[in-house]
Amino acid sequence: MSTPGRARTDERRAIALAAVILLQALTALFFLGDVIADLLHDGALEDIHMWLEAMAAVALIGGVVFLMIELRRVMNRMSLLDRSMRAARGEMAEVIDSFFTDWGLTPSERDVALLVLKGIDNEAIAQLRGTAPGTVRAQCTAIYAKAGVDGRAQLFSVFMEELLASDD
Amino acid sequence: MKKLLLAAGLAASLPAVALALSPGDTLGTIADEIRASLTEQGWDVRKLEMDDGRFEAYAVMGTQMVEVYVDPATGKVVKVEADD
Amino acid sequence: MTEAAATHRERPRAVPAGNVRVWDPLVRLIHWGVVAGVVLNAALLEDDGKAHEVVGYVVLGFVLVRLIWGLVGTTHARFSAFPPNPLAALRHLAGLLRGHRRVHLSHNPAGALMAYNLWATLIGLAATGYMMGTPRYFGMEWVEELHEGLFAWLMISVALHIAAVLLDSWLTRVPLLRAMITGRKRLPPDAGPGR
Repeated sequence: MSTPGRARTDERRAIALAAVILLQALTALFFLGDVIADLLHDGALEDIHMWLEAMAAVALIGGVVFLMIELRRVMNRMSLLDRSMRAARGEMAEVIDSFFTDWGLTPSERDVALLVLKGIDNEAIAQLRGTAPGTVRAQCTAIYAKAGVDGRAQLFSVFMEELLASDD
Repeated sequence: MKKLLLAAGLAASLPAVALALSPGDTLGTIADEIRASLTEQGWDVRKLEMDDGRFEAYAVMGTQMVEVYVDPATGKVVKVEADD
Repeated sequence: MTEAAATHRERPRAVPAGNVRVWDPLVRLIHWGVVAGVVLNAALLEDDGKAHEVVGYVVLGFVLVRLIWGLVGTTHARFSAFPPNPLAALRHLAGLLRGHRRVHLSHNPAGALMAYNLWATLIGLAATGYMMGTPRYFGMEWVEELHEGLFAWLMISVALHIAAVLLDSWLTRVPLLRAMITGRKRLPPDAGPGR
């Protein structure tokens, strides 16, 4: 799977592409304006200077089109990355869910267990849920017992193993 | 007369309008006079208004477009702005 | 916080939670480029100067590129993602007032109309501005007044646009200003289904 580094390179590349697209488009507009004005005025491009401007405009417009295609490709690659990361997270949510069901956790225990997995300590959990820390401690004891683990760290490792195993 | 001015105007590399209108030219002290003087010279006077105590005339001749500023006291042109 | 466990299962896959990439760099650069151009020409540059003209054409260039991008660009930048639909816009506004918090990834229907309005107005300003520099329309009162009228309309539209963005952000809890800077929309976890 691509690393965050790749995403950052893509981000910078996308911004650069956008900037160059705009610069080229504005320059093309400038030359095009000149050429069209000359055509309207004289009916034809009189000197080599105007022909060069016309060529430059065509080249620049071609560049803009090409870079737009490239920018779209870069953006698609980035959202693909986003989607697969989200899918991984989504799958994790389903995995966590199924484990909680297997262990027979009560609705409150599911909530607490999820918060524990998010790395939140008992005091904070109690605050969030509007209960007493003692209640949370009791719930954790029940959760660990049902899960067959000794404590927080082991609870984490249950799911870490799941995450690492699913890459095979 | 108009064609000659046009040809002369287009041939010059400096603001072509220098040949037709210059600061110091007398056009008139009231709007009607100014408009008449310009029209005589072949200008199509599009707009004539007071701006900052001066007359400002927008005039076109062929492909030349100018803004002429006239001092109402002296009736003379004080500034000519040629739009390229 | 207690809904967290439940919503993991209930959240519809159509609208992802968290930070979603919505506005690509081209859309964002153009948006802020136009803002800069409008500020320059509206407030800082002399109306009859060369700089005013140049900035006007630069803004026109930005709008033209945006229109092309609306045809061939990324998903959310395309016109198909925010088609002009006055009925939908009214429904959206009515919904907001009633407390519906539907989240849109691209412009919502009302925002879409504003976008088309702004682009059309800017093109009109550029066109009348150009005309004022042609022998045919130079000094013509009606062209100048049209240019000024369009400018007045632009100012009204911009004020409305800013107010609407702030209101919508506040009501839907999606920071739209930040989205147009970073490109990502931070969707609230209880986001309802949307495009």
